[in-house]
Amino acid sequence: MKNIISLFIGLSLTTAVNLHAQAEEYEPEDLIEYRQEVMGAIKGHNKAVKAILEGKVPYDGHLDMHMASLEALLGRAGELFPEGSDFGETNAKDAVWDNPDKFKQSVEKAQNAFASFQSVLAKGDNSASLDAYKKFGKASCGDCHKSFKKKDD
Amino acid sequence: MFFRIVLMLYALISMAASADESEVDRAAIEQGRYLFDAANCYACHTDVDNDGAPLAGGRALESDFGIFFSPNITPDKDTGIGNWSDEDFIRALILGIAPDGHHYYPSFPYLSYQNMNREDILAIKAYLFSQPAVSQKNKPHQLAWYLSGFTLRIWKLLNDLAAMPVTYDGSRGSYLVDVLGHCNECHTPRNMLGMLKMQNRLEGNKALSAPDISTSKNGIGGWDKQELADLFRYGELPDGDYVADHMGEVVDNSTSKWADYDLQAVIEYLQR
Repeated sequence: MKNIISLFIGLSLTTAVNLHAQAEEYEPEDLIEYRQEVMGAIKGHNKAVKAILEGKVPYDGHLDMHMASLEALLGRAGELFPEGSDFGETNAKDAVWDNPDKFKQSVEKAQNAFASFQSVLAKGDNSASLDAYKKFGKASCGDCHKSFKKKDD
Repeated sequence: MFFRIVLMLYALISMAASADESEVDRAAIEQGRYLFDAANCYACHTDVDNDGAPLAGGRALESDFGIFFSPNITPDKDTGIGNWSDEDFIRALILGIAPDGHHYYPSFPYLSYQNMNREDILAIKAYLFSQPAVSQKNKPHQLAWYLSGFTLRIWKLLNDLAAMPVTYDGSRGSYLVDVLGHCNECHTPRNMLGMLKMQNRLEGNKALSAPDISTSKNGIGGWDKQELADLFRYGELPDGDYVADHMGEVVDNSTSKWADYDLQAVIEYLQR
């Protein structure tokens, strides 16, 4: 058991060190642009889920795809803010890097909010799902943007 | 025996009166809490970024004129507003004048609050006085060299003479938007002297990254009622994004707590 825990800690540390080292090797502008593209993708899937739940489009069969994409993207959102990507054309606030623990908590809150939304969606009540979608949005994107994103110019 | 009965009756009447009074107090505090949220007092008077105590002030408000630090509005008698009378509180909110006679900078939105009614102001005071007192001295502002108590008095005089007053048409929607919510303070552009240009009401203030929320096509003219409701309730924008920074706080602390009838009143007012 001890060996497994040591291996897990070792792998986690290696991943963190690798990500940090990798971030230093790349242009900050490219990292920022990539981050914005991924955030744009989250926004796109979010909006697609809402359109389906509101019955504005006939793509109920796409719901699982958008939800899986959102889960995957939200699961890795915290990786998109490496050291060195805090200046330039970014709307991320300094607080992301100044208060990493709070930022981590906010990302985890978003992931938990997604899990809650997912469990309501699984029950198949469309009205409850739409309500849960709105609460998920406020508790995830909304909560993180409140503390860690600047307003658009 | 007779004396005992009179004494018991007196005690019972006193208890009933006292219960009535505490009921009235509780109602005022509850009403005050709702109005306090609608006026979004918490956001400016709490240094959230540095885990400051609620309402103890010290939050830095950056502007073109320097950094303003919000004051302590807890009922602490030495560093807060614990010694303020009702009239002190009313004068501060509608005239922007402290009990010691010094004037507040317009970073405190008294120009919007000037249309708040007396009963509502006192309800907010009742709520504030029901909150824990926190001993925390106010931080002095860090402002441009040319700003002082004297220039502030001149500014207030000029503003009274030259600037149009903040709109208020007497409707519930206007009371929430223009008075309590003080939306004009961020969303209406200002001139070089920092005076609100009410002729361009709610057309946005680029210096504050506050967007146009007028009924024009650049503003919220194309938004439907549900989109506005989702913005105020959840911070969701029509393009699937979510509001950020100060507006995120406005939604979290204030608009998401509006009663349904107030939400509808605001939507109706903004779409006129």
